[in-house]
Amino acid sequence: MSNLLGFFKVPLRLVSNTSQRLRRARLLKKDCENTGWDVEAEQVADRLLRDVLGDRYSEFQRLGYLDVRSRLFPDVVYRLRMARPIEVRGVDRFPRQCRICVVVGERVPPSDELLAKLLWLQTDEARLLAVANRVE
Amino acid sequence: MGVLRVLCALGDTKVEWDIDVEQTIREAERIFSENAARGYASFRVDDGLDKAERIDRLDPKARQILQIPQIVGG
Repeated sequence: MSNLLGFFKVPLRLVSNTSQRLRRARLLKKDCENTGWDVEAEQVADRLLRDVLGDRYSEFQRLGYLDVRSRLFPDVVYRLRMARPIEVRGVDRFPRQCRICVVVGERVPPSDELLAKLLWLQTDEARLLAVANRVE
Repeated sequence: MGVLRVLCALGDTKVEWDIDVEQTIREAERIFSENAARGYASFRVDDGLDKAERIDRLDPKARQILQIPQIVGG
């Protein structure tokens, strides 16, 4: 593969970025079809998420989740995935599969909802925990 | 120049203000207050997520503010 890329004088990084973008676009379209979301609205939300996340956006694209370290509990990490409950990980005091669910009260695209969770965790974790329901 | 982005079903709607034009600031403040009264939470995100902060009033010096409808247990 790298030989072929060398032949076409295409920088590997460029190909990687392009294929990541194509993959994300395909996933985004599929997500929207599955959830009934307007692709355009989700694209707007995705751009905002990318803007606010900065360098961490590529990490999110690559892994499919974002980990946010708790500020209240030193050994807790919240794992956030698109349109999924928040996984509470890495601590003995919570059961292994502990998940909590919180949603935006009005209809917003999945990327906006993820951003809302991130902002609440970052700025007022206690409030988010007070509102969230535990998912069995 | 600052921008207030209000999250909605379309992604978000933008309200921009110019710190040198009082009228644009007042309009942004009006929209900010209306949303806050409806329970929207406001976050200043000038420098990305890590330095995000919750705010109660619009600071005209802010570069980017997000307003998000209130969260509920799912």
